[in-house]
This record gives sequence, C-alpha cells and structure tokens, in this order.
Amino acid sequence: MENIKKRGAIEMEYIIVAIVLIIAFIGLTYVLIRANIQGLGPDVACKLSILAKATAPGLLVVDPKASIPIECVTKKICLGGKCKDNFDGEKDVVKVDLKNNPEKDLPVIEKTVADAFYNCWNDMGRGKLDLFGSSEDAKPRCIVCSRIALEKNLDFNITERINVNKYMKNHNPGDSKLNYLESMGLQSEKTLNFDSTGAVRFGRVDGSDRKTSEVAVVFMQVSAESGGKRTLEYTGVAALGAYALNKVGRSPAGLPLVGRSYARMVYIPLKKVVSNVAKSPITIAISIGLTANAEINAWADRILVAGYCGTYENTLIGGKGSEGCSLLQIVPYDKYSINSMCNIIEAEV
Amino acid sequence: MINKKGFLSLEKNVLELVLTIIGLLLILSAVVYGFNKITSNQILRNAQTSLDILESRANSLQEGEMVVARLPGLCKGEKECNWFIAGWNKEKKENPEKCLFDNCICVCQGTPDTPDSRKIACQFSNSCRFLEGISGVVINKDVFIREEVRGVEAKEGRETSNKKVPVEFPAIAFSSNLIEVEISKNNGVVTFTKK
Repeated sequence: MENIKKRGAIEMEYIIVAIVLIIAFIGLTYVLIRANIQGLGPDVACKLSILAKATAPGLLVVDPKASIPIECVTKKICLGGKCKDNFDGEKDVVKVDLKNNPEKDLPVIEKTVADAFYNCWNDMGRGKLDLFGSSEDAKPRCIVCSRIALEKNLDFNITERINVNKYMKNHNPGDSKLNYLESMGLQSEKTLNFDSTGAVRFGRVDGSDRKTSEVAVVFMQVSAESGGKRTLEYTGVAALGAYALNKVGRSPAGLPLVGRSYARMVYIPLKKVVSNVAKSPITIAISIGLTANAEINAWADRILVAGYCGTYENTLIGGKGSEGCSLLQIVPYDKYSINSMCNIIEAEV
Repeated sequence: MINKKGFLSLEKNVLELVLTIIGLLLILSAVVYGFNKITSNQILRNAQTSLDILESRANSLQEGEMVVARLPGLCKGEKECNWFIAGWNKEKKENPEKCLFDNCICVCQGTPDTPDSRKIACQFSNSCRFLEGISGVVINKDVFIREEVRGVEAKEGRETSNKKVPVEFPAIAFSSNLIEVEISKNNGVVTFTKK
C-alpha cells in the first residue's frame, strides 16, 4: 500500500515537472517570438547575440550555432557632420563635429577610428570565439562593425596626417592603464614588426582628390574544416597566414611579409596555416603595406590589422573548440576591398 | 521488496533522464525557432535599408549626375541568391499593383526570369518605392546563373544535367556580400547598373 502511494507520489512529481517544462517551453517560445532584442540597445543586443552564438553547440543534427543570428548593426559615423555622399538614405548616422583645425581635429578623428577598432575586436571576443561554426565551404564570413566617413570638404592637411596606428600605441582607451594595443590583448610592436609610420588614410589620390572617403572596420572569421583540404582564397587570412608562417620560420610561397608590399589574392591552405599555429595560438597586430595594388595604394598605404589564429575557446560541448583564423581590418568601404575579404556578410549593415 | 525498491529507483532515473532530455530539446527548439524568426527579420531589414538607399539616391540625383550605391548582401551563402532589384515605368500592364501609376524601384525576393515572375516577386506592399520627378526607369541587365537542362533529358523529365549557364535579365542580383549599383540620370531617365 505504501509502495503504491510512493509510486503515485513519484508519478505526480514527474507530471508536475513535465507540466512546468511544457509551460516554460510555450513561454520561452512566445517571449522569443515577441521579443525585440534590438530594444535592449544595439550594443547590448550585439554582445548578447555574440555570446549566444559562440557558446551554442554546433555539432547537433539541428545546428543551433548556424541558426542564431548575430544581432549587430553596423555603426555609421560621419566625421565632420556632412556625409551625404556616404550615408544618403541611411538611418542612425552618428555625427562627430570637427573644427577644420588640424590640431583639434586629428585626435578626434584618430580616437574615433581607434575606438571603433578597439570596440569591434572586444565585442567579437578578440577573435577567439567561434562565431560562425565550421562549414564545408570554409567561406570567410564578416561583420562590418563600423563605417566611418570623412566630410568631403575637410582640409586636406588633416586627412594627410591621420595616423591611427600611432594613436593606438600612444593612447589608452577609457580609464585603462594600458594603451589600445595592449588593452586589445595584442602583442607588443617590437615583436610584431609594427610599423610606426603606418596610418589609416582617408581618400588620398595625387595629393588632392579624395576618391574614397569612407572606411569600414571589418571583422572576418574563417574556420578550418577538420581534415579538409580546402584552401583560403582570400587576402586577410592569407596575410595572417603569411605572418604565421613567417613566425615559424617558413616562407609562404616566396611572398613578401609583414611591413612590406603584399599582393592580394594569395592562396594559402588553411590547414597548413592552422597546423603551424594551433599548438600556440597567436594574437597579433600587424601593419601590412598594400603597395602592390595601385587602387589600394590610392587610399591607404598602411593598414592596421589585428588577428588571431588557432583553437577557438568557446565550445561548450566536446571541450576543445574548432580551429580557424579571425582578422580585424580597416579597409575602404567599397566592393573590391570588402568582397576580397568577405564571402558572406553577416548582421545588419 | 528490495526488487521493488530497485525497480522504483531505476524507473525514477530513467524517467528523470527522459524528462530532462525532452525538456532540453523543447527549450533548444524554442530558442532556435525564435532566433530563426529574428534572422529573417534581419534580412528584411537589410532589404528595406537597400530600398531606402536606392530611393534616396535616385530622388536626389541631378540631371547628368551619377552616384554609386553600396548595398548589403541579402543572402547567407545559399547556392542561388533569390533577391533582386527591379524597376518599372508607370502605366504598364505588367507592373506590380503599386507601380501602376508611378515609376518605381523595387527590392524583391523570387525569380526575375520572366515579366510575370518579376511582377509576382514584387507584389508585396513594402517591396517598392516611387521615384519622383522622373520620366522613366531603366534597369540594365545583370547576369544570373541558371541550371541548363539538356533537350532530350528535359523531354523525358530527367534532369541529369546540371551545367550552369549565365543568363541575363533586366534585374540586378543581390549576393551574400556587398554589391555596387551605379545610379545615373540623363534626360529625366534614371538608370540603375550593377558595377
């Protein structure tokens, strides 16, 4: 009789648990459908979605990692306040006032670009989170964190002197006691052959015309397909791979390396790159001269790059994360530059 | 008695395990479903942004001027991206309802292969915008990739050939990354051309 009572009590307990689970399921579904995650504010929504995506398991039959969207919206910043050519028809453009005075404007411009670079790197988990999961095609996927445009009529003396790389070495973000590069967890300039003459330059052609007046802070990630023989057909990782191979004392197909001219569209097998760096993941800041291409040279001859190659740190199931490379780069916002780096652009532009 | 206790214990564990698994699966599927809803909204928001940019740039164009609009990708790596830009001159029978009385530009999801399919794809109310103060709209042809089915196989209903061929339609294809569209205005006609 007691046993029957106990069994009845246990069954009742399970029925209650089941009912609670079903109610929780219905409630959660309703909340998720109705929720406006953007209502939390774009920055919070972005960070939450990055964390959700990075920690979701990616090896189930239904792939939650692939299903979770990255709720980041590209920040649009207009330096000078008049950027109709760049942002006509677009919403939420942040205007930064400039005085058309080099001494006052330079630090403002450099800080804006440096902050965009710094925030993007940190928001994206410093490249160590697996945001997109491994896929068969191993296509590089990107998030355009910010687009920064410079007012058309700004004094050319200002644009010529913009040097974000130098600013990041000599200034600290917020209240930090470390400079931007150190705060980003990047290695020191000496180790990295960081070029002190490097500068982010806005549209410079023949010293007068500004062909490109807009740059984008782009985060790119590509994951290695385990055991695959895919090759990376793209600049950023090729550049990063070249650096990585250089670090381990190998010549990447005779290509010039960090701090020197670098040809675009180079093919480097990802597996080769990753296998060289996987044992000791590297996080680097490098300055790559893109003098090989006249089109790029017209815009910027030194571009700041932050990168990480190795094992991702985020997978909850299975312990060890997958391998791949992440890259953060400031590039001109045009089809050539963006698409040579990104096969797929995620999030909202 | 011991057996009964053992049976109860085993039963309890198995039930707990089953309930936990079911619960986790339910919660996981709810999360995936919810996020899927948000993802599709994200693509629609990017589509609306593209439409805003095209409308605004076209409407602010001066005679003889040309601008370049950079539009975000509307596909996430699918084999074929089925989003495209189409445009209509007013007062034509083949126009979508919204474009019957005004020139308009549209961002649509579907196939641009025939006038009818373009019309169907662009029927949604939020797909199109009017272009003001112009005499016409021209969408220069863009290349779309289509699978070619060989004659005999097609007759017999066997689609064994998957040869991909480029085909041109008066529409501009979106991709998974950035596209650039040149917008120019000459003699009151606004022309959209993929760069």
